[in-house]
Amino acid sequence: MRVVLDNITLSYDGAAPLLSGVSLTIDPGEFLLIRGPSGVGKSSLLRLINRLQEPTSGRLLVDGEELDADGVTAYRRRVGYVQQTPVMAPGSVADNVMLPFQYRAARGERPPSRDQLRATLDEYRLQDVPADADATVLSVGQQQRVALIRALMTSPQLLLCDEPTSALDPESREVVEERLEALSADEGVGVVMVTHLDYTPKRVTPRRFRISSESGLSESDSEGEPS
Amino acid sequence: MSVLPIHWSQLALCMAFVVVAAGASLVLRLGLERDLLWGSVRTFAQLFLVGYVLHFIFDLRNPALVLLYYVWMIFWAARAVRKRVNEDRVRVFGPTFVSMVVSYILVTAFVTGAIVGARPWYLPQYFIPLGGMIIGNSMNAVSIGLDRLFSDLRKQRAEIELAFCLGATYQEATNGYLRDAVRSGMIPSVNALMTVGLVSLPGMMTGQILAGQPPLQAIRYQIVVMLMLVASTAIGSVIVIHLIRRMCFSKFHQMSI
Repeated sequence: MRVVLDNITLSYDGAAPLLSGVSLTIDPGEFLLIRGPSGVGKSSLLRLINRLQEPTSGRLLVDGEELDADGVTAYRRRVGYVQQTPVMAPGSVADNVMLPFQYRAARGERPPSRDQLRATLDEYRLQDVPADADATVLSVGQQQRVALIRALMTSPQLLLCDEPTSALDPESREVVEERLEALSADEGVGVVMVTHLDYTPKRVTPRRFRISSESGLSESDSEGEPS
Repeated sequence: MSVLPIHWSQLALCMAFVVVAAGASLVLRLGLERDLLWGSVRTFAQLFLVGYVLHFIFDLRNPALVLLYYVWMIFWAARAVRKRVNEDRVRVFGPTFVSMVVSYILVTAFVTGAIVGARPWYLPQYFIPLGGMIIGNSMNAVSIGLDRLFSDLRKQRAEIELAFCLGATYQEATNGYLRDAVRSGMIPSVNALMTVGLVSLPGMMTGQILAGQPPLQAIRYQIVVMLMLVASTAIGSVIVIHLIRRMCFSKFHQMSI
């Protein structure tokens, strides 16, 4: 799936634009790293990509076409989105991970079995978390991983992650980073990651971007310097 | 037996109540004298005005006029709902007004025509008071329901957007909140079914008894009224809350409040 942001501008309630003239192409298997100070629109950019936020002007093209109203929910099902502050629905860890299958967009798909779910939780270093545990009382680091697992449940073709490792210990952080790199390198999933941490992927060569309030979104070379 | 008439002299005597209340206000320095006086004047003026209008409508028995008066009452009810909900992102008035007009006219016509058996169905002595009760009652339910809807949608924004991220439609993401909103609006009417006659005698029944109807006839009317109110509350709030929920989201399933 190829996603193109074409000259997108976003302003809230008629204020000065937060993002302006943003153009960006995300191809299958690409790994994008986005950095920038807080409040310059990094999260808004991700919200624009999965169409949670409507641009003030500009177009979002998915495989060359604009989405219609019916296409949006199916598109979002193909785009995993891990929000900066993990949101847990009331209920257990298992309830949360199975949540996507409640909605029509993914109703035809097979949810994982309890054993598969257990294995996945272990894989993300959540051995101590029972599948029946109340998800809303987990630590932020645990919730971040549950949110990532949930986003990956419906095999997205594009994954948007907003600071997915900000609250993780180094070992868990490595597990998550390896998993994201594998998605990109082995499964052709596009990955867009917003992070303020120093991070150099081992298996993929990322495209690096900076957002600032002065120059908007700009691509930099692999060292992080503007090219 | 017919109702005992009240003459001008008796109405004037009634002003003694106002004088007593104003006196109390003066002695206790409540500062309510002006409001009491103005309120009494308005009570006289508004009720006399309504009295003459109804007298005129009752005399003419013109269906268009009856319905026009009914729509006029609904207009004020929809305005009251808009004021109470006090929401500036969504235009509450239009959908509330239109759905109240359609659903309440149907319910009232069914009650007067099919249940009470008024001939013709728009007989204003029946249609207007029964319809007025429907409007007053469900106006409250609609306000409570909408209030609840807006506050839930705002409070649960993160969870709703999570559902969107996972591919939910706005309906799927908010059906639970919609149900809670309708339910909260309906609870007072359902509670009224439980306590009617025990806590107080309802106004309609009281009125009929004062007008000389035998109590066993008056309670039949009251039963009709109670059930009619629950039904119209349910229909009105379900339609209005559905329509307004739709307006809280864009066609691309994004929150717009």
